[in-house]
Amino acid sequence: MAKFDEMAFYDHKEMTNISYAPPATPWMDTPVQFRPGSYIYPGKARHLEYLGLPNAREWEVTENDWKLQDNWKQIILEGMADRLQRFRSFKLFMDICVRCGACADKCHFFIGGGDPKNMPVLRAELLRSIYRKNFTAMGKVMGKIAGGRPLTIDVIKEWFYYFFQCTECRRCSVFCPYGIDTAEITIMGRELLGLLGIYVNWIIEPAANCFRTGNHLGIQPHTMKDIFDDFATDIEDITGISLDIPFNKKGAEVLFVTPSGDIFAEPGIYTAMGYCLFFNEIGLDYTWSTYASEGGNFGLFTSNEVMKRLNSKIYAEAQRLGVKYIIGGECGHMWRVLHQYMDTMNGPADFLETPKNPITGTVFEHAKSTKMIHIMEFMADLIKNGKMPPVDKSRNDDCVVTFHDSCNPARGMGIFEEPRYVLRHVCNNFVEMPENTIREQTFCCGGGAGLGTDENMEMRLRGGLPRGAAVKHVQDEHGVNRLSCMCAIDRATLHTVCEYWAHGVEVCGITELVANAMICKGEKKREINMRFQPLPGAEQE
Amino acid sequence: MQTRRLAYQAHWLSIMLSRTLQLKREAIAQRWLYSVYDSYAPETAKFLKKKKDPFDNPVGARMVASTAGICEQICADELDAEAVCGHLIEIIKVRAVQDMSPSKAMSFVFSLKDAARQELGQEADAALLTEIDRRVDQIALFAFDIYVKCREQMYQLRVNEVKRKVKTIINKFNKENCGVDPEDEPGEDAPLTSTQRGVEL
Ligand code: SF4
Ligand code: SF4
Repeated sequence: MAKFDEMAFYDHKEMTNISYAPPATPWMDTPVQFRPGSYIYPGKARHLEYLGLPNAREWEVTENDWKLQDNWKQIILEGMADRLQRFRSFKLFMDICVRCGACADKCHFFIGGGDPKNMPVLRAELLRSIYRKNFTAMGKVMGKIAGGRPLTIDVIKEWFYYFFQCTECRRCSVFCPYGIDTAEITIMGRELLGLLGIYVNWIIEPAANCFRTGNHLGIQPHTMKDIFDDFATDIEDITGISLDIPFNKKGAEVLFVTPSGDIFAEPGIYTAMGYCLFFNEIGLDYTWSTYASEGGNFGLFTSNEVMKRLNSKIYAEAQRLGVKYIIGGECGHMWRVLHQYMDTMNGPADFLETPKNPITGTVFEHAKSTKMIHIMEFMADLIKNGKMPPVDKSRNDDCVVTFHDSCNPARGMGIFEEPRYVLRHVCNNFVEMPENTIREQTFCCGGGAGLGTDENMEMRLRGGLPRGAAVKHVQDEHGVNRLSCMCAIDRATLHTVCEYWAHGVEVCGITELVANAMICKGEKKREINMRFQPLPGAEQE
Repeated sequence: MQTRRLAYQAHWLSIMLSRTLQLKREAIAQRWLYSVYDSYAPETAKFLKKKKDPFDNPVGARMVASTAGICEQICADELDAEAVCGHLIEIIKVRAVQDMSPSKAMSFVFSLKDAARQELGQEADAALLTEIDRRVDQIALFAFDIYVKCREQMYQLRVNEVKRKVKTIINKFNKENCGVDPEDEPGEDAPLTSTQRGVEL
């Protein structure tokens, strides 16, 4: 087949064809064409080796030969049999779909991209058809008529293409009358691909880094300390307050964990600086850790086992440091792992206490088991009890803010009100996006679940269209210029989504806005915000 | 004398053009819109036609508004380039990032010719059809420019993203090793202004 950058790729017959409608071939008979911009580069052998994953080798997506094991078919089928037995939900989801179509038009990749195989129901069928053919009596006998099909290399390639065009956002599951969660089917699909050593580098490299140095980016302890020293200098320049940022402090009351993306890349760093200022101001006895220096868990996008290994670091560090409980920052999928899996995977964390706010005395009963609470829950509790440091909302008056519910905290954890409550407390101008694009129905940024790299930009932009369209609407109608969110991946990917679909809207974390507004004890006259931009009104003076 | 006659003919043509076309404008727009929908797979076309909410179906919503807007221009006395481009951008921004070849992404412009012919029927005046073709060709040229701009912007966004990822480190490195304060340097990832980008996308 001609390559994308060769002229012959554009079939000349198609170019002169007067009818522009595509031929209606049944989906099972339409093999994938790997188009640059729509797939992610394969995982490098050394990262697979580091994590002890099978079939570590260098390979190319566009090559015919993916260098699979000789018995790859057997590996997949055995892997499927094993998982059907171990995970009840997987077996259930394979069996109960009635193909009602309620989920079909709910996926942002289908809505923005128009490829029918991105309809959640069809995405699941990619796997279900193999299940039917090999694990159900009807499928074995009737084959295609019963919705079954044989397992071929083309099927594996198709899985790779479409399971890495699903951000595991769970929007489709909200609309399914049976509660089928296509995200979990994608998770299973990726696990099966993993048995053949088929991973994408953007997931497997952070996972390996995280295992080795504690965070996705492979930041080593001394570098991390350096970065925080810089934060302290910047915070002093902005507020006049000099603060000590505690690291690996034994016996601290609280361990704070957040994604490493935020201590590294813009605009997340402003939120990370905000955490430091906030904790300092309320006088919380807390500590950062260089060992559990990552909230994110790319194991969730790799396999159950890798997820467990990476997640175990948080409890291990909490135990080593002897803290009472854990607070988590504005992270996305960390909360999904934590809320849905951590307790049974690595718990119970008997050595910790049920989180209790030392300032208000509130006991967070709902976290009795995991011993970990969200920073927004903590802040909301302070505000509710009148213990939040005083704020000057007008310092955020240059921002008309809207809030993007990140899929994982929203649908994976159910935290909707606290962030809004905090935002309203620190900003004068807050506007909601349309109802069918927020809360449970929120649209994904298009770059979650390990898709937030740059080589698949085209795919990400079409996946980000529904979110972008809603942002553009509030930009046009209400002059929104800030999109706040509680997820480090979102802060990176939405920046790009906004540049393309709603130019002029900037992205920020909530704690950044809190830090702007918070009036700290002994601060100097504040003239600039956390981004070193003049505060509203300061320019004229 | 000759010039006067030509001017008169041109005037007459434009009146005739706008009258006939005005009558058919909505029908042409509708037919064209459906042919744009049909350039997608059947299941997708069905969805685009059916869902009316602009947030559940942002692609469809853009297409409805933009095809109508462009048809208005086709039927006007003169093409207003700015208005046409404004509508084209809405459609092309989407098609430039969908999984299709450039030729396929652009094909929707030319299907406007077919839509017009089908609606105007056999008896359509040759001069009228020539004028429509001329306008569609002009729109196609605008469309090329916009498509390329969109693709360029997409690549630029890739670059910006990579730069943002390493910015903190590079600034730190420069500060420590070269004594350069990043605040004094021109921002390497400053967003392109609309003039740099040529078209406000
Ligand atoms: S989980 Fe999200 S990305 Fe995956 S199919 Fe469902 S809606 Fe689409
Ligand atoms: S909504 Fe549920 S039952 Fe209906 S097609 Fe989708 S997954 Fe199947």
